[in-house]
Amino acid sequence: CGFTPVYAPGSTGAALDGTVEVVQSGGSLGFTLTEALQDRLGAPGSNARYRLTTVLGVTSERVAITTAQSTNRFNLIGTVAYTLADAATGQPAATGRVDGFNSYSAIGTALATGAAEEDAYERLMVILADKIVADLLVAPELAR
Amino acid sequence: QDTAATAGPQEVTAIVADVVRIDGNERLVATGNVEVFSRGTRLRAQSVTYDRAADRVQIGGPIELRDADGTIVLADQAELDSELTEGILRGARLVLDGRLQVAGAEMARRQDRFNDLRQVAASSCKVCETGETPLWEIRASRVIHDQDAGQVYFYNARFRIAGVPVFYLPALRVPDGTDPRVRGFLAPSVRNTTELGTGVKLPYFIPLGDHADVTLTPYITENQSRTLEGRFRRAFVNGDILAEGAVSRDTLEPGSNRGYLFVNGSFAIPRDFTFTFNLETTSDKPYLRDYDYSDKDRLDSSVALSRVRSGERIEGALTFYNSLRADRDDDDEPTLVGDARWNRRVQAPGPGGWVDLDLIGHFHQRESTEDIVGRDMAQIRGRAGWRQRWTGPGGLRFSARAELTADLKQITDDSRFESTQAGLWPQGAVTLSWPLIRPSADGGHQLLEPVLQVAHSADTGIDTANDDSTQVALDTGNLFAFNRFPGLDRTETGTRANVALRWSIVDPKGVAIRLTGGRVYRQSGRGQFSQESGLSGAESDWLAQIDLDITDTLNFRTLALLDDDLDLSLYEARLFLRGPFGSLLTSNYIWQAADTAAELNDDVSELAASASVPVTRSWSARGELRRDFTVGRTNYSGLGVAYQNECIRVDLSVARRFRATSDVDATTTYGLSVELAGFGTQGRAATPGRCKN
Amino acid sequence: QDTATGGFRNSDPDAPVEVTSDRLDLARAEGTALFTGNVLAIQGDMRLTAQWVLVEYVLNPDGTLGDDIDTITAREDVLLVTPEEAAEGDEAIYTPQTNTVVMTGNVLLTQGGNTVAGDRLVVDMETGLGEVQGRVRTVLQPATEDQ
Repeated sequence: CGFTPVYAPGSTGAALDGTVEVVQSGGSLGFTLTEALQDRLGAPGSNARYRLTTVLGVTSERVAITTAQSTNRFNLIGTVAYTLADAATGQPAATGRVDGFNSYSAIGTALATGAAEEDAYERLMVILADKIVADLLVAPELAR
Repeated sequence: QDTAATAGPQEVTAIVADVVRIDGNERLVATGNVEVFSRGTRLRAQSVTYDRAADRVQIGGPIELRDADGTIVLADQAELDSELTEGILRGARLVLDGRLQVAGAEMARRQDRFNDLRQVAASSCKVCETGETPLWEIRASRVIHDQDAGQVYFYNARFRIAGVPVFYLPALRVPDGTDPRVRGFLAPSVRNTTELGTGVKLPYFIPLGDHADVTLTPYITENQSRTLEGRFRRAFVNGDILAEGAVSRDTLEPGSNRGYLFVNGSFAIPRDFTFTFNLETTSDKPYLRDYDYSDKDRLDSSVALSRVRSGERIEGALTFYNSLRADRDDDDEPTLVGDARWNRRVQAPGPGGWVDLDLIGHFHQRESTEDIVGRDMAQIRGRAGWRQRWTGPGGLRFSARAELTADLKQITDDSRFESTQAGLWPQGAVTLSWPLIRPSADGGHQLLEPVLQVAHSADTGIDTANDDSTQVALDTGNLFAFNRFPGLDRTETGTRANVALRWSIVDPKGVAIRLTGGRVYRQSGRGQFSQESGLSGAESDWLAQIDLDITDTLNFRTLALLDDDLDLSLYEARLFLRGPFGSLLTSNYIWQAADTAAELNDDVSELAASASVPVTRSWSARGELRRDFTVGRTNYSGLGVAYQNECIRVDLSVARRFRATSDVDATTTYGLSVELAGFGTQGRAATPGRCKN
Repeated sequence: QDTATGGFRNSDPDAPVEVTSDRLDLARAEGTALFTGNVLAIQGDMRLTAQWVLVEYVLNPDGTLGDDIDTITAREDVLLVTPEEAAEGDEAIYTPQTNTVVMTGNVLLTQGGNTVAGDRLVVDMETGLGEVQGRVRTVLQPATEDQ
C-alpha cells in the first residue's frame, strides 16, 4: 500500500538512530525536554554525527474560570525552535518549529495543584519531543 | 580628509562643499551641499561664509544641525561661532527625541549647552501644509533646552488640542528623550470601575543612581478610595530584585488599611547555582482582584536553588502557600512544602542506552496538629533506571526500560497509617513501534506509526493517604509514562498495555493534519484511578490529540478523552487564526465532565476568545470574551479601541466582568490612556505620519 | 571688498620672472623654454617650485621670439607660495597677461592655518580672489590658537 518503514536501512530513521547528540539548554524544563529527546533518539556514544539544539518557550493561561473568578484549570502552551546541525561542519541539516499544549487541574489543594503543574510541564515536554522527532524523520533535507 | 597637524582632530572645524571661494581678507565662502563638522556637531546648509578674524559663521538655509547627543535643529538662517555652539538661528525648529518639534521665530545657542527659543509652538504631529493646526501642540512664550541635563523647560505653556486651548501651565519640564531614566511624571491614565468609581493614575518615576529606580503611582477615585502603588527595581552584578506593592484606604473595606506586596529576586551564586526568592502577601483575600493587581488565587512565597548542566539537574525549593480562593478554607491545606531533587543521566557502557539516577526529597506540613486533619508527610525516594532502544528487521523499533525505586515515607498526625514506612519496587516495560512513511507524488507524505507497550510495576508496599496526587490527567504526554500519578503519594502499579496510533498527512502546500489516538488496557490494578480521571477500569478512556495546520494562517490544536460509548470526559481546543489585514483571532474552549473525586462538582464548558483588527493605518480595535456555558453567563467581555499616529496614542477600553458568585450584576471598567509621542516614549514606536498630497 | 590686503595677490605682474633649474632646453623655433629638475621661478614676492616647468613665449608675427611670456606650465610637486598663502597641486598654469593661475589635481590651499583641498583652483591675482571647486574640504584652524 505504498508505506515503507522509516527505520529501514539507508532511510532517514536509520541515519538518525543513535547518531544525534542533544545539546542541553534552557534550565530545568530544558533538561526535561533534552531527556525526552534523548529517550527517542538513543544514546549517540562517542560518534555523534548530528547535534540537536532547541530553544524552548512556555506560557501558562487561565482556562476554566469559575463565577467566583477562581481558576480551575490552566493551559500550558509550549513552542520549540529546533536545529539539527552536522556535528563536524556545524551546517544546519534540518530546522523547524513545533508547538503543543496540555492542561492541568487547579481545583485541589495548593500542594496537589503544584504537583499537577509540575507533572503537566513534564508531559508537555514529551508531547513536544514526539513532534520534533516526527518532524526530523520526514525532514526533506535529511532524506537526500 | 587631511586635517592640519597643529590642532587635534576634535577641536578643528571642517567644511565640505562643492565650491569654496577665498577672498583677500580671510573670508571663506562655501556654497553647494555644504557640510560643517565641529566637535561632534554636524551641520548641513546651502551656503556658509566663514570670517576668520571674527571667528563667525554666516549660514544660509535650509539648515539642519545635529548635535553629538542627537539633538536636531532645523533653521532657515543662522549666525554662529565656528564651533557652532554660540549664536542665533532664525526660523528655527528644535527636534527632540526624533519626534517632538519645538518651533520658534528665533533660537539662541549658548555655552554649547542651552537652546533658547521664543514664541514657541511645540508638537510631534506632522503638519503637512504650513498653517495647518496639528492634533495637539504646546504654545509657550519661551522654551529653554538644557542639553547637558536632558531637560526642556516650557514657560507660560498653553496646551491646545486641535487648536483649542485646554490648559495652561506657568512652567512645564519635560525630558528631551536622550536619557531614558529621567525623573518625572509618566503618561497618566483614567480608570472607572463600578466599586471604585472614576479614578486617575499618575505615575512618577524616580531614578536612584544607575542601578535602581522607584515608580510611585497615586490612584485617587471619586468613591474616596485612595491608593499609592509603588514599584522598586534594583540591579546587581549577579542578579536583580523587583518589588511591587500598593497601600489603599477605600470604602470597600472601610476603616482598614489594605495592600499587597510582591517581591522577587534572582541571583547567580558560586558554582553555577541560581538562587531565587519570591514573597507574595496581601492584606485581605479580595484585594488583588478589587484593584486588578493580579488574578492569582494562591499566593506562594518561596526560596529556591537550582543548577542545571548537561546530564545533571539539582533543584531545591521551600514554599509557603496562602490560598485566596473563596471556595476553600486553609486549615486542611498543607501550607509549608519543601521539595528537592537531584537527577543524573549518563550513557550506559556496553549495551548502550541511558542510565538515570534520581534522588527526590519532599515534605509538607499543615498548621493544625489534629489527627488526620493535621497530617504532615515527609519522603525520600531513590531511583535507578535504564533504557535502551534498537532497530529490528523491517524497520521495527524495540525499546526496553527497567527501574528500581526505593521509598522511605514518614506520616505524622494520622493514626490511620503507620508513621514510618519503606518500600522497594521494580518496574519494567517493553515497547514495540513500527513507523511507516508513504511519500506522495507532489512532495507531501503520510506518516503512520502504531505503538504497543507492555508495562508492569510491582506494588510499592506503602500504604498512605493521598495529599499530592489527587489531580490525575491523561494525555499523549504520559500515555507511555510509568507513573501517571503526578505526586509521590500514589504510584501506578499492576500490568497494563498502552496502545497508540500516530497518523500524519502533510502536503507541500502547508496543510498538515496530525492525529494521535491511544488507550490503556489494564490487566491488574484496575481500581487505583478515579472513574472520572479516564484511567480507571480495564480500559481507559480513548485518548485523542488532533492538530490541523494550514500554513501559518490557521493552527488548530485539540485534545480529548472519550469513554467507552464515546462520550467526552474532557475536550480542549485552541485556535489561532491570522485574518486579512493582519487581524488575529485566538480562542480556546474547554469541556470537562464533573469529577467528584477531584472535587469538580459540575461540568465545565467555557469558551474564551480574543481578536485584534487593525481597521486603518491609525485605528485598531480589539475584543475579548469569556463565556461560561454551564452557568450561562459571560464572565468577562471587553472591547478596546486605539488611535495611534506619529504624535499621539489614545487607548479607550471597556470591560464587563463578574467578580464573585454572589454578584447579580457585573462590574464595568472603563479605561482611557493618552500618550504624547516625543516625551521620552521611545518604547512605543509611533507610526510615522504621511502627507496625503 | 576687493581692497583686500592678503590673498593670492601678485602686486607686480609685469616684474621680471627669474627661473633657475638643473637643466634648460631652449627651443627658439617654437618659442619655448623647458626647465627640468628643482625648478624655482620667482616674480616679485611670488615663488613657484616644481620638477618640470615649460615657459612659452609670445611669438611675434614674423616668427621671431617675443620677450613676453604667454604661459608658464608647471608639473610634478608644484608649489605656489605668496607671503600669506601656499597652494600645491598636480599641475599649475600661470598666464601673466590675465594675471591668473589655474591649478588642477589634488589641490591643497593653505591660508593662515585654514587648509582647503579640492580638485581645481582658479586664482585671480589682481583681486586675490581664489575659488576651489570639486568636493572641497576645508579645515578651519581656531583663530585663537595661532594669533
